[in-house]
Amino acid sequence: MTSLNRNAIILLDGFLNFEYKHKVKIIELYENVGEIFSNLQPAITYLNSVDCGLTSNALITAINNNYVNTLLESYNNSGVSVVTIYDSNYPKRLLDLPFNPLCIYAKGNLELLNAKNTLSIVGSRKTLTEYAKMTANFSNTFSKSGVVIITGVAPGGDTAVINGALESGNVICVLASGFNYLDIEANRELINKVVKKGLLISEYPLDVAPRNFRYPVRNRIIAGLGDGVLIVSGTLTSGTRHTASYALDYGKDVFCFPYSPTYEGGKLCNSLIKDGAVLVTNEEDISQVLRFETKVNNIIDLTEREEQVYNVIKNGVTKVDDICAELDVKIFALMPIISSLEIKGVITKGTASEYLPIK
Amino acid sequence: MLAKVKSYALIGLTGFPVDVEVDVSNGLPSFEIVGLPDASVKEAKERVRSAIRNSGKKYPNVKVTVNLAPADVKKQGSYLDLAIAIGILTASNSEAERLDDSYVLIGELSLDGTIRAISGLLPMLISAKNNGSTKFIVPYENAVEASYVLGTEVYALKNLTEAVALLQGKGEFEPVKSSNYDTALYESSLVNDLSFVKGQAFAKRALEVAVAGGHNILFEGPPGAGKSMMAKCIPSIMPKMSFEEALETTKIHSVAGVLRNDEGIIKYRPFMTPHHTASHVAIVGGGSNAMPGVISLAHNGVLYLDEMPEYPRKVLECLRQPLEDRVITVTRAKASVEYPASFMLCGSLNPCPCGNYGSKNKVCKCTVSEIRKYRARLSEPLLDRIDIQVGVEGVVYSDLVSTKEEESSLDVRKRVEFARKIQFERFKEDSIKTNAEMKEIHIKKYCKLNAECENILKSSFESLNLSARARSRIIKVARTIADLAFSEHILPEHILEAVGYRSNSSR
Ligand SMILES: [Zn+2]
Repeated sequence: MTSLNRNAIILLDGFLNFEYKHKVKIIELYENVGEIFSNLQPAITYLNSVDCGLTSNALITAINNNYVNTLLESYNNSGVSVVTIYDSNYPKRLLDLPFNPLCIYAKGNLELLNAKNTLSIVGSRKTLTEYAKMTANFSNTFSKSGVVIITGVAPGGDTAVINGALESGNVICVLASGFNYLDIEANRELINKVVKKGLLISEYPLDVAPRNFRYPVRNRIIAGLGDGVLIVSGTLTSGTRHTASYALDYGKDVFCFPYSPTYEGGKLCNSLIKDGAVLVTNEEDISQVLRFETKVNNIIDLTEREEQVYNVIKNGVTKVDDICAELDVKIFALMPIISSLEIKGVITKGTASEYLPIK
Repeated sequence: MLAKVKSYALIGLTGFPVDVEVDVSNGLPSFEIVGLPDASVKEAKERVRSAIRNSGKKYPNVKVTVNLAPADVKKQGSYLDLAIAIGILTASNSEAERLDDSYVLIGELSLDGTIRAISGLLPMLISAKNNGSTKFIVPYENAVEASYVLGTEVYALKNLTEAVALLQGKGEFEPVKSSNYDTALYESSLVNDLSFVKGQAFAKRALEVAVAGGHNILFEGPPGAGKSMMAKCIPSIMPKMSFEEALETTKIHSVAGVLRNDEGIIKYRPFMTPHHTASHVAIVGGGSNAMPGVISLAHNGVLYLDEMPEYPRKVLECLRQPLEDRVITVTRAKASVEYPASFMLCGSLNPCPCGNYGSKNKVCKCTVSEIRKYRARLSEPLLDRIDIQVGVEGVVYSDLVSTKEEESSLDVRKRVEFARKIQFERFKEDSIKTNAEMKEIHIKKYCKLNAECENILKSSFESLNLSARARSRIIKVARTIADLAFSEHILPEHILEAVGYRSNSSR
């Protein structure tokens, strides 16, 4: 029966204009929705009674012409796997959520869908460089220790998350369109890497175009797949706020980086913290709350000179000129140490000639 | 009767001899110029006729034919006036005594007979001298310019009457005294000095490295950070111009008609900064006369493009050829002319169109795509030719009022000149002068890295996400840093410092 159920739901999901709540209604008409192939009548009666983006004639034609096989073939040809709510590898974390996707279209490592530990990390397109770097570091640390990271595919915050997680491949990116619209993404090269090493998913069949309203809808999946959600940046009106509010609705822990009170691009984080989100300054702040059994390794091997410079930067002296003055060294003696600290991943370039601590 | 007088004309920066042949024969009064003259030469008729009459000489009221040879090259400009006038006077025997025809005559005439200053005299004199001519009559106002062409006998005269007198051997005329190329006054004459820039140790160091290795540099920072101020100081820390370099640069300025008469020769490295609304022709060169553009006027000096993304893309892309080949080919209707354009490029840009991106206390109103588009106006191939890309901080009040002694341009220039000397020795056998010009083959030969350096490079690529193209830029800059430190080999600290001078364009 499972495979018939599976086919039925793939078929229903393949009608692009057919509304979600009516799909659910049709499923509820049957004990097993797979019966639809042998007993079409209940579905026809329902479709004739409402205006829902699918006519009974269209369904009859589709079933008579074995349309589901055409669909499966096209997914197969595109290298896309379909995971339905009847499949054992459907993500458990989504099973009980309202409006959970009936089908998940996926490319990449399907095993990631039911990882033991997961963390969603999202940020706005305009994430400050040092925050982006810090985000990449978090993403890198967690993903390397086995936590699967969930995010989107936009430039800025999402990109930093992906960059951090690609090394281990423990990353799931959620699209807001069908797979046939990947070419228009600014980040397509990065997305290709996600397909190779991690997992790319969408709740939309191949030919669904990206539309603005789909992003907030997509964000419910990002929020749903994570054991918690880390918000790295965002203005009070940015799309990231949807992810945060879904997470709160689902009863998940929300984590935020803190910002200066005047910085627009961080006001979402500050306001979430005020409302009870966890203020995050290091990886342990998250792993303690979510009980990740991961040992976060924060020991970095620094030379004496590096340690000295690093401490000055951590104390808030961040501009190269000021660090020189503070330590009374010449700029050409300082620069090699700065670069070395940067390469070791404990500081990063801010704006202009500023370096900021990220560990 | 037929007369033959020698003059010169120009194609690009090269002068070529023109024989002005004048035939005066009986017939209806007429004045014909043949031999591919352009409009500006045809205008000579009126000037020459009036100049002769107003100098108290007799203009022959017969048929006058002027032939300019060789006939297959288009002649332009008014340099030929003087030669045509003397030719007419000779051919018509209007003067009692014979006129000496061994001089090369260059000059424009005004209606009253004054010999007027011309542009492009220097390249003509240099070419003429190389072609074996030694005696010249040139405009009086061009005397200083002419004084730098050594081993010639140049008379700088005020008017046609003087010219006739000289050619008849009458009167006392002194040839122009040759000038010594002297840059002793260099320091005191520089208006912009690095010591006037307060603070900015990081940007100054980046600038020093850039100039030492001939690297192009890009300053990124908020408006008012002092990017232009620092750019203007670049000529003051560049090595002094050699006489040959000065001549090359002066030739171009002479042809473009922007050489000051009292200047004679350009001793200071030019600093050219075209506005971003300047026309393509004005910046790159061209037009009906195939004139050199600003980038050629910046030859041996600095081309500064403030707010670089504001320049039309077409102009920016045209910079790629000269940045690579150090010459620019300017084409006009039939021929194409090559002008030198070996300049150090200094560019500046804001972090975003409104300038506030990344600021901790000002709000950036630009959208992400606006910021991306702004930066994308500088193409990758262009950015690849800018070895050093650094951020400049806004100036802090405490720096402005600081009484701390800042290093002068002279101090920095001494280090730069040492580093250049090392490069000069290194590239003796190669056709390049500076580290910035190194190609892969030179990098292989002169920038051997030990295992430790290779490791640092490798890990910096991994952890800083550098593109493969950044590799040779970093190595070239590291080579310059090593030269500044008198180090024969590139050491780890040189590589590390070089890694710091790259843009943070990861957004
Ligand atoms: Zn802006």
